[in-house]
Amino acid sequence: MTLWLKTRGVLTVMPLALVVFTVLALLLHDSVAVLPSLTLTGGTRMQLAMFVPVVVLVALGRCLDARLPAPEVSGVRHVLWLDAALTVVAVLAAAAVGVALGSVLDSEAALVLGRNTAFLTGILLCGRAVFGTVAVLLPVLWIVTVMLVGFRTWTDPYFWSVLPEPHGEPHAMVLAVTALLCGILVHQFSTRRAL
Amino acid sequence: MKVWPRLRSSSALWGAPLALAVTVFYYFSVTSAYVADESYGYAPGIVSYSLSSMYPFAYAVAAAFGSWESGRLVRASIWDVGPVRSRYRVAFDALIPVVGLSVLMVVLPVVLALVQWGAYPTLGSMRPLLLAVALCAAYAVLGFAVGLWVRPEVASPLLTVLVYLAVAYPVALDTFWLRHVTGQYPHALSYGEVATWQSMAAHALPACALAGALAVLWLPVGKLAQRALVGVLMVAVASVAAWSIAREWGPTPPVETRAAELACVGTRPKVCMPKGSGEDAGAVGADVREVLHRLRNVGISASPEKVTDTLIDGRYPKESTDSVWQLALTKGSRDGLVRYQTVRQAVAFPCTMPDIHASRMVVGWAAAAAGEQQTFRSLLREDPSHDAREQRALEEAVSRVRSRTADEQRDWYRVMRAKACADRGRDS
Repeated sequence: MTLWLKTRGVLTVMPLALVVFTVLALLLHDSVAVLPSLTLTGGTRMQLAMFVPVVVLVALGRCLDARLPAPEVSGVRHVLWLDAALTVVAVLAAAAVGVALGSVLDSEAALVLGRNTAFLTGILLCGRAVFGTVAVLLPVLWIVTVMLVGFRTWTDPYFWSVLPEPHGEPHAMVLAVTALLCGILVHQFSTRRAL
Repeated sequence: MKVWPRLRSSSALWGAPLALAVTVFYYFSVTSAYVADESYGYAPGIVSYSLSSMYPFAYAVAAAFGSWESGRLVRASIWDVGPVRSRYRVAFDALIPVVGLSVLMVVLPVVLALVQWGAYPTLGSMRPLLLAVALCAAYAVLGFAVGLWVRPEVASPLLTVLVYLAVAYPVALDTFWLRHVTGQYPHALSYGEVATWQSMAAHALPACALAGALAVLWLPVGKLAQRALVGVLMVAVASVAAWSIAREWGPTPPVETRAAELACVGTRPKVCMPKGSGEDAGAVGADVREVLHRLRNVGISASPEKVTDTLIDGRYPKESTDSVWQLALTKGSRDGLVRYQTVRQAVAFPCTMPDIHASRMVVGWAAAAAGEQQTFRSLLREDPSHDAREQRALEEAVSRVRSRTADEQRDWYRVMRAKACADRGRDS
């Protein structure tokens, strides 16, 4: 466990990322930018809070990348389950920050931070099995995709875009949890051991 | 090193399909329609609009892949080979594909637009593109420097988001000077407008100074602290300079106007239209002269010396005077409205908000005299508060006036025109 913590750099990277995440969420919680869109002529109205989970994802990717391939493959310790625990804890921490900020500041955008982090983490973990380290760019790509083609009108996102859905939207929650579970399972059973 | 192996090993290669797809899709789904409707083949307008949304994408790509490349060099220990190869040379070799990709993202939409609408680029029109190219290089250097300190898996997603938002977001803020120093020229140039070198400098200074400062850190001269001091000074001076250029500007930067050349044809009136707007000045002049002739026959005194196109004045057209008329000739010619515009200007009222019934009577009568009833009718139909019953009443009233003698009509016109502006501010 201690060895795993040290190897992954969990105690240095994760707290730092969560602090940055909190500060950014606090600063940007309800800022809206009109950004370019392919489907809407006037551009998309994007909550800047949608970009904030990237900080946690990058930290998570960094932790999971820091491996000692040979000892880990030998399989004496259940490192992969520790990885899964780390993922879940990171997402839960992000969600807790989001819910706390959201209820204190009465901010819709902060309330959905946890759900969005879970969804993007799922994308990250699934992508890592295919693309390896480069997969940290996939969540960013998803956000850009939502920005470019994710909206039918300013207030009406397509169901698959998940991130801009309002708090308490059941299908978005289901998709986010499904994505996270898929990501964790893929991470457990992907054959790609040496990233 | 050969070109193809260098390209094949670069992150820019696997990034290229996505980056270029966004560029091309954005051009065809957004930019192309605007250029067709609003540019009139005017190169500075085409260039500035094609670029307007591509700046942040290109800069974000440059920074992200720049950091990825330097991360690779560090990991392969190439960065530490020391005196064998100059670090500038190493960085230059690694950044060429990255800068090439991001430059392609800004050059491609410009070329597509110019080719699609058959416009020739002019020197003045290339200024925003030059800015974009310079800043692509600057952001690639910035990304490269960050990638030397931070692992690329961490640096490149964060840089993508940071650079993108830092460039794209300030346009939405009320702190106007901020949007003039980000590297995104925030203004779609209208006909006759050209971006000034001052605004280019304001945009380029902060990012270029930052890139320059980071490059100075690699210099093998002096101590690191001294180089850092020089770098900080560079950034500070450049930022203050950019701020002092843009500090009093409003939401749109000042532009050079009347950059388009006019070509005048005919006499009494002389009709002036911009060259290369695709409309025939001779045909427009003939229309204007014929309408003026018919209006003079019914007693409307309309004999301008010159009729000029407002298109070249950009978004702040000049006021017409009795001898020089300012009309939207090119736009009117495209929409088939030149004759009606001439009628409208000939009976222009001496106040800004004339009485609506009196003014419609006068315009309807003059339009009928010039043979433009159809245009008048179709324009009125666009007014939702004007229904068919009112239209019938108006047309009957106009035809009653038209059936009178020429002298009576002339007197009626004078009285109605004065009546339309009675009790109204005579402010124009």
